[in-house]
Amino acid sequence: MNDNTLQGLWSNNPALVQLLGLCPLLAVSNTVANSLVLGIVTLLVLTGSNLIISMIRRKLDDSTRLPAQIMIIASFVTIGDLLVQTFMFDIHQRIGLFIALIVTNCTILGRAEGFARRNGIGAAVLDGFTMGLGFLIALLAMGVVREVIGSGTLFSQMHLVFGGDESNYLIRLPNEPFLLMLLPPGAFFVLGCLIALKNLIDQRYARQQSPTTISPTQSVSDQR
Amino acid sequence: MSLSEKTPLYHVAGRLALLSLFCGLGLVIVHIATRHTIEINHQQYAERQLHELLGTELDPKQVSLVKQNEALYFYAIDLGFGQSDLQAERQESDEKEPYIDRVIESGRIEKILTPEGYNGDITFWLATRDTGTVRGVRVISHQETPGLGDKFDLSISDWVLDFDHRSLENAEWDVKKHGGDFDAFAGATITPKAIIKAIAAHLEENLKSDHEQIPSAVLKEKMQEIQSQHE
Repeated sequence: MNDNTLQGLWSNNPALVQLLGLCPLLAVSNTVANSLVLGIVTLLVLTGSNLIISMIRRKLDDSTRLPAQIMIIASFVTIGDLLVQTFMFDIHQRIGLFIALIVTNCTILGRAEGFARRNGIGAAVLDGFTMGLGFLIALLAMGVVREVIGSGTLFSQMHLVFGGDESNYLIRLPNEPFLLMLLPPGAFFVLGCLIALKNLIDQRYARQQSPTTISPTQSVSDQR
Repeated sequence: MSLSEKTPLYHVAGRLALLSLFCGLGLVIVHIATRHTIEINHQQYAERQLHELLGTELDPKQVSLVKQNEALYFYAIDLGFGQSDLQAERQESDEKEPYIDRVIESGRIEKILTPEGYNGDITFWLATRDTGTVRGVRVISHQETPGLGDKFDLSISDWVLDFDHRSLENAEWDVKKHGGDFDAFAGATITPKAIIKAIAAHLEENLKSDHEQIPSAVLKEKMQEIQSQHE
């Protein structure tokens, strides 16, 4: 993996670093199944919109690019919404509103503006995919933590995504359900913890890279 | 990038129009491809909810559903086997036949739409017994906030079962914090209130217009069906 790939997944993760797309991230991440579906649709929309926007990037100027980008993104979101209704109707009954709201996810317009309109097709698709994957992973991490603590289960309703019987997927945990985790405050709390965890790992990693202790004077000069 | 001053306006408009055309085309194709399945999914979901509703207390095989004059009726009957009083009186024959011993319960089912949800319309099945009590409630379609306003979904909570056996006389139709008998959802009062109010309004309407009970023709038909099966 080169640096470009890692950006979306880690160092420039849309959810944990750029803090974009918080509305779906906070609202839908109450179970793993919901997180998974929303994350995958977002990933596909992001990849698709980056592809198309990169393809037509030479035809767009300052006055047309924003309406054009929004139109492309909205079309992909609507297609995604229809596909979820077709193949995962029960999940759509649950999180349908938030699938339509993917169009307002700033990550997608952000990548269109910040990357796809200035880069070649291959790079734009890769960027859309890794950014989407970074978002999906963050969403899944939130889903796992919130479902385990909030409901005391894991992988509930997964059969609505993959078919079969719920008992094939469901894991019941011994802890008492803690409702707060399923409500918006719980979502903020978990997101904060995940960001803190990521920063902690980054710090550890940076310390390992430079084991020699930096003297205060040095660090000040570094900052300049 | 900034070409806008040099590009004539009709070029700009033309490009956007062309792009909208392509986007529209893509949407039309996906819409046509998925329309049928989505409609079937909606119907199946509604039917599943209805059957689940009717099967909760009685053996689902016992409960029958009939459609008559655009209205849905349900009824459950107990079958007797032998001679009904009438047959015995006439002394027609010694032959034993199944007959309808008693109607356990009967009532009607309606699809109710309330526009007062947090995010627009909520549609649900409401089954009411002819005695005036609620047989069951199941939500079919809604736009409520997932995880917050969707606790009427049975896979999430049992809230919707609170309506069973309630009537205008034996319940106060409001959420608990406003003096009623029904729980509100944590963090969402508008949704349960909308459903509660819609059911109460409907029950009142039922009282005023003394609606048709299960048509006796239906029972007669059922009787013939059973007897022909017996023969």
